[in-house]
Amino acid sequence: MSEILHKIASSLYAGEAATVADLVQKALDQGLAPQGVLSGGLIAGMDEVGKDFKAGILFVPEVLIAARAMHAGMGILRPLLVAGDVPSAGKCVVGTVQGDLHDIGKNLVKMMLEGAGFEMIDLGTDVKPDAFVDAVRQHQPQIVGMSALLTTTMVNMKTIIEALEEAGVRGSVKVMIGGAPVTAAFAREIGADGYAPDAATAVDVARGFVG
Amino acid sequence: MPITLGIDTGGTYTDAVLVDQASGTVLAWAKALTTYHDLSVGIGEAVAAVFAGQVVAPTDVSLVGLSTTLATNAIVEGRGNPVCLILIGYDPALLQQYGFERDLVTQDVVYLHGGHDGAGDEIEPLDVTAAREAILARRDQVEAFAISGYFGVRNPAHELRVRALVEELTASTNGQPLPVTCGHELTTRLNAVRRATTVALNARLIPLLHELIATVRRALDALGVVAPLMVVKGDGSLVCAEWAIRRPIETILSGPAASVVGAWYLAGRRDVWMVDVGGTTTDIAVLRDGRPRLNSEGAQVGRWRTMVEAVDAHTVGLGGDSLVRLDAGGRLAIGPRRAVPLCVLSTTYPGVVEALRRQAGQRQWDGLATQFVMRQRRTASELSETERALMQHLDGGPQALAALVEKLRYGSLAVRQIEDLEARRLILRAGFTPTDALHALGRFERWNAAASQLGAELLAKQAGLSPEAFCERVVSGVSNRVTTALVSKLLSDEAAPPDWARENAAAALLARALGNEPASDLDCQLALRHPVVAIGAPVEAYLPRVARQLHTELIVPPHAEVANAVGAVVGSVVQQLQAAIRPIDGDQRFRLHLPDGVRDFGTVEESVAYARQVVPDQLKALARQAGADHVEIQISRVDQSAPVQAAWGQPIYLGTQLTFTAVGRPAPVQSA
Repeated sequence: MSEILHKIASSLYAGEAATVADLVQKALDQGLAPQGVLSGGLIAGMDEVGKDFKAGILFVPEVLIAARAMHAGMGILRPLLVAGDVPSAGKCVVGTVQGDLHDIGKNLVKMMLEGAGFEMIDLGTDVKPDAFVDAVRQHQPQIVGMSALLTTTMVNMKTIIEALEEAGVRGSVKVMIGGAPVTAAFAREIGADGYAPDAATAVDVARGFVG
Repeated sequence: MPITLGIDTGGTYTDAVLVDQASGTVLAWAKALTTYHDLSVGIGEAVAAVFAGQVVAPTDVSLVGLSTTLATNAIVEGRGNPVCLILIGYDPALLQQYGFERDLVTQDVVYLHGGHDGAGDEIEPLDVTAAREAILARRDQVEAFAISGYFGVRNPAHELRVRALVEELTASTNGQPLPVTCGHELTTRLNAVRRATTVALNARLIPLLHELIATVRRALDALGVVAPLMVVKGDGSLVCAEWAIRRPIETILSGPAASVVGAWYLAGRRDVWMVDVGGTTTDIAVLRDGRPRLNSEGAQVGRWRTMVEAVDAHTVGLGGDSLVRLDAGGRLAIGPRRAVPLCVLSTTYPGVVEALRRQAGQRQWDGLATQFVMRQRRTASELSETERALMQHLDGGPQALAALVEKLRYGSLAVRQIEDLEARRLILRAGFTPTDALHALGRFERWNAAASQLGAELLAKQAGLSPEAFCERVVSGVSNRVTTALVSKLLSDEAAPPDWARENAAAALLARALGNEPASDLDCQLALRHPVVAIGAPVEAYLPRVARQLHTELIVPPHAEVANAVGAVVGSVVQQLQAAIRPIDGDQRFRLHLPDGVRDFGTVEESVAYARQVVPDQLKALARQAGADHVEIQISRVDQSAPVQAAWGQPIYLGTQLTFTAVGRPAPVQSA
């Protein structure tokens, strides 16, 4: 890995948004390809963040700060990436289920997946089953991610999976779920394809789906 | 006397069999050729033949059971009558975007506002005015209506309302309402698109099955058989003819289902693999605990995936009447094309033997040698001019294919045209088949072995083998294919469907396990844990090698040749209804989804008690309509809940599924 990409990754890990933006611009000026800067710098840095988050070395605030640095770098890269028609790692629709307004966990997953090169469609919180079906129809993602932070709203995840089944599109997406009270056994029982206990694992699960 | 008549219409033969169900013995059996243009002709011939021995008088028969390929064939061939599909609350944009419109079977689709959500609550009121207009506009154009509502299986209210409208508005013109089927009657499963496919296919088949039942009934009446007629469903159970007419889609895979039931009845074993070697195809299915294993994903027929739970059968285009050819490289190829065996053809047309002798005298090899073509018995279809000219050549009986192609002077085009006429079932091909190999080897002696021997000599010379060695290779080729199909079926169920042509290492292991690579230093063995019950004809020639290759027991029950026809009449009448309970309002209340609507309760147990109170009566009525007597009802309950993370509390209740199953004997003859 070239020196500058390494610097981008470590600045991102440290959450230095302005530095990351400067370095990304410098890397492009040196003639590095936008895809290379994304995968070798930003995604590599975010992978480290994910690993340490999973290991309990980093906590939610640090991850959020790193994600902000990621966004700063992406702000420069995005116009170039679209122009260069870079294939994304995959498309993923995320949302917190109906009746539930918690969004920190869902946002973390969104940022980590974005960091891993996924194209994210965020439906927000309190999302009705119909809205999930509509989003699948509109965006044709490979993955649908659902979050619930209340035991009373967890059952709505099952309702959403049923809505996808009824629409005939269940077979064309992988469904992964998460949220503090959710368990792997619950995911199996409601017919989800995957469960992630934290945002970093969500990246592994998502990569497994599209890989 | 509990004597019953079983009839099976197979790809090649229609079998009829008389079974004394008190002693479990087969009293008589007969075969006739299946007549595709009108199945009832072959059925009539087989039934007449089974009574010819005068073992039983037609009036002594108390029940007739029929397994029919009509529904399956009609779907595969795209036959059917014009129907209107009414979809309630569907999103046309979604159907279009995913290309689901192709799955709707008919072009005539009406989208109505309405529909429910997963909880069974109405999303939008039903547009009754539009429904009325659509029905009135079509009542003289279509022969049946199909209705499917979005989440109609969670609340059938809109489907039932439209159904009542169809019955009301179509009855006013001719007294009898047009046939109409709702999605919730055929399945309780989610997937609005596949329900639409299933219900539209069903509607399209109704007039066809109605016609078949009427002609079979007439044929039976003419022979003096007055007993009620029942039809085999794809799960192996029986329904009365009137029921089958309303739900013909449930008779898909009726043939393989009857085979499994027949194998179970004749072999008396509850856990076996069933291999049915027919004329055209070989079916492989599993019997577990005395019942055929069903395909819970829903049966696939042609390009359609239905929601009908039918026997999980694996079908291979290989049978006693598969055409044996040598490909350009001189390699042996068996099937999937079907041909009339030379030994059978020459029994009716002795001139065939002379024609084969002439071919043997020719020095130059012709890839079409040993093959003949002939007219099907009756042809009603429209023909082009060149097709008519071709058909005229066949007026005098079967023609050698090579000679015919030469006469027509347009070479490979003629071969293609013949293939097309064959696909349309206007002409039949005859040629060397595994059945001929058995005749040439002297292991089977029903027809004219002379033609088989000449055919074997012709092909063997080309393959550079002696006729005996060539025939042995054909017979062991059939065994190898059956073994491979069994292994493929098992691997598909348990791991992944193998692709032997591409997966070289897997193919090499299989070849060693089958004993086809004696020079290899690696020896391996496969063992099937359950016995194989072989039925069809003549399985003794092919299946012993299969059982040896798979190191398992082989059971060839008595009357294995007609086990499918036995299976057409020894099944029970089985009907099922489902009720489901789901939490609503954040666990405060519970909704009971019944076959005819929804009802809310304060507790799960109240819901269960109510379902147990009302569903059995509905089910009993249903089973009687389906032709059952002495109905017994079993109820199974499955509660679903899932754990949450520690410290978050109790497991979450997700729902309860109640399955009510009615099993009865077919109701006996009503009048003495």
